[in-house]
Amino acid sequence: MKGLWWKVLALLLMLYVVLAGLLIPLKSGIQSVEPMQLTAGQQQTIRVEGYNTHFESGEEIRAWLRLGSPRVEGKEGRDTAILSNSVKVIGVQDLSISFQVPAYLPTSDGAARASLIIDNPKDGAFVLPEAIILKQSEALAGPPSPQGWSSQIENLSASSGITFPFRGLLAETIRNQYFHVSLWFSLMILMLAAAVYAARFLISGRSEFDRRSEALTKVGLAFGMLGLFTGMVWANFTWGKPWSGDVKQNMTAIALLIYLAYFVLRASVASDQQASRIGAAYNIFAFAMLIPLLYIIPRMRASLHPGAGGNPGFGGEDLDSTMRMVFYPGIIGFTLVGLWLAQLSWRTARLKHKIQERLLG
Amino acid sequence: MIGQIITLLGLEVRLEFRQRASLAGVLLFAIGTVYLFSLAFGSVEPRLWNALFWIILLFGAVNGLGRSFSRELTYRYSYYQQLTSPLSLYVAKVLFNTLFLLLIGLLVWGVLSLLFGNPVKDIGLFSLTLFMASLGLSLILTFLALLAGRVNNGPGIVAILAFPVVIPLLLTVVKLGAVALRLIQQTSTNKDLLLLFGVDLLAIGLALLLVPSLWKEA
Amino acid sequence: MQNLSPALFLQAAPDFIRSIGKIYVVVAVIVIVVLGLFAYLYFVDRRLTKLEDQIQDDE
Repeated sequence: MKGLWWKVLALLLMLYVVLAGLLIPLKSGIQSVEPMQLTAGQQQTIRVEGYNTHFESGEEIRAWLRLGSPRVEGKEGRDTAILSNSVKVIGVQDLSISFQVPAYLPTSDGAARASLIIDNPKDGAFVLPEAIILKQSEALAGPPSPQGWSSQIENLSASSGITFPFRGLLAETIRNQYFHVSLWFSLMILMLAAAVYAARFLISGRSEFDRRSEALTKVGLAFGMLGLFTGMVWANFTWGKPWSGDVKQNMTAIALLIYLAYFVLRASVASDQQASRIGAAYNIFAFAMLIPLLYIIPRMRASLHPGAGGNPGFGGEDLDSTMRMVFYPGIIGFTLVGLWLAQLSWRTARLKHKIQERLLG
Repeated sequence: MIGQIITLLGLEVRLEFRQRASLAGVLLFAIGTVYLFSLAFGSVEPRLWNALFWIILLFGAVNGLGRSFSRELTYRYSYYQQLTSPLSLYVAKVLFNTLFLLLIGLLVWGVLSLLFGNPVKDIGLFSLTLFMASLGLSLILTFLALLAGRVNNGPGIVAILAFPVVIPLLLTVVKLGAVALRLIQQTSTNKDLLLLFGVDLLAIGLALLLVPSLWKEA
Repeated sequence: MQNLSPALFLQAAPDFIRSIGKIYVVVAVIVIVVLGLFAYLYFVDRRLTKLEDQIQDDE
């Protein structure tokens, strides 16, 4: 079979993405903290349930409560934090941590949010942002004071082994990055290819280009539907409901409607030649609309999707280098699978064209 | 080229004045809708006023502009093809349709103000939004009308093609309109205007690329 | 009422699909994608069958 190599590559990439995407464990994290509110000026104990942790008694496990935003890697300077005075291991996932909270908070609001940082030699350091609310006790009312809040967070252990990041309520679903998000990226590539073939058809008039353009659009639309459904499943268990009217959800639905109209348009033209020409022009138009719908408008509005409100979409903490090693092959893999499906479609269409020509001639 | 466009624009205006069919039809639709609303609701609060205004403009645009090329693509087609370049005809149509929508918008604004009062606080912003919306709708719908010109059930197809494309535009202008009515406070007005401007530029670029090849075919 | 604090969210009573860090959500997503791809293959297959029938009628 000619041109087999890229189909083999598609298979291998998909195999790699599914295996690596499912088998690489998540980094350790903190699942729950009880109680979530502590009062200043007292010795208090919290129960912590970890995720993917390997606590063992006898190890040196340290914990900090840090005020303000979570510590930025490599940032020098003083931390506003307190160190735990005892950490007791209850199970591989469970800890009991005692803190002596100083009598006065360093902030003047009477309450502060603290992130909980735990460090153990096996799992490295991990953080739960805004884990605990610290309250000034009424009996000990007084001016804010930084005294006792000067513990340095240092000598953190590095985690060993390859892991994906642990992000609070995403938990294991962070792996959907390789399936749901890759699908959308490959859709973009397929639709671009469809628009390029449409343009080549308009320039040269060769019907083969139009068949390819139509087949690629068909696969792209199918990918879009899959992307929408997988997104709804993912959203149901992280955002609480399948459709929250998020701007990106709305805009992708509109984009899919635009591409559905492409097939309505083609179907409503009587002559094949006109259908090809009008369809090709509309295809380019639809692709030009796809970019603002998927990538410009959602960034200008508040959205649940990452990348909204002027934030960078990818990169930073949400996509570390381990994830890239699976995410990028995932995009290539899905694109190749899409090309393969589209090729089947356009070869079928070519066959149909030839049979019709033979029947007529 | 520019001379050609001006001549064609003049021709469009004169034809419209002689026949008055599409303008009268759209105006009747717009005023009828507003009147129905006044009967059904009695009074209209500013939020509804804003939504009503843009929705009437949108439906009026789809109704009126969907048939932009119904004359050219039939009996006069081959004659036009010899006389003018497709682009200048297209540009003339876009300009005419923009003026048409602006006129509709101003009249609807007037009628709404007459019946329900005028809640627009920032007249400059509202007028600018109306202008950008007219230009955007006219660019997109004229292009789609050309696409659907040779299709069975052309105007129906224009509605199917236009709605998904026009929804983001409509959402943006409704938001800008709400700002002009002081219904919401917002700082990203410039960004939204820029978005409208970008959509307009995109539609112009696409038209320059695609109109000649759409026109070529008989 | 919705409290979006990550700690509270994870404390919600776990059911089957939310168990083990919601890994079944990932499984569901993969199953949807695979089913979708197979559905596409099925439709291409059906079109090819029709064409084959046409050729056989012709001969």
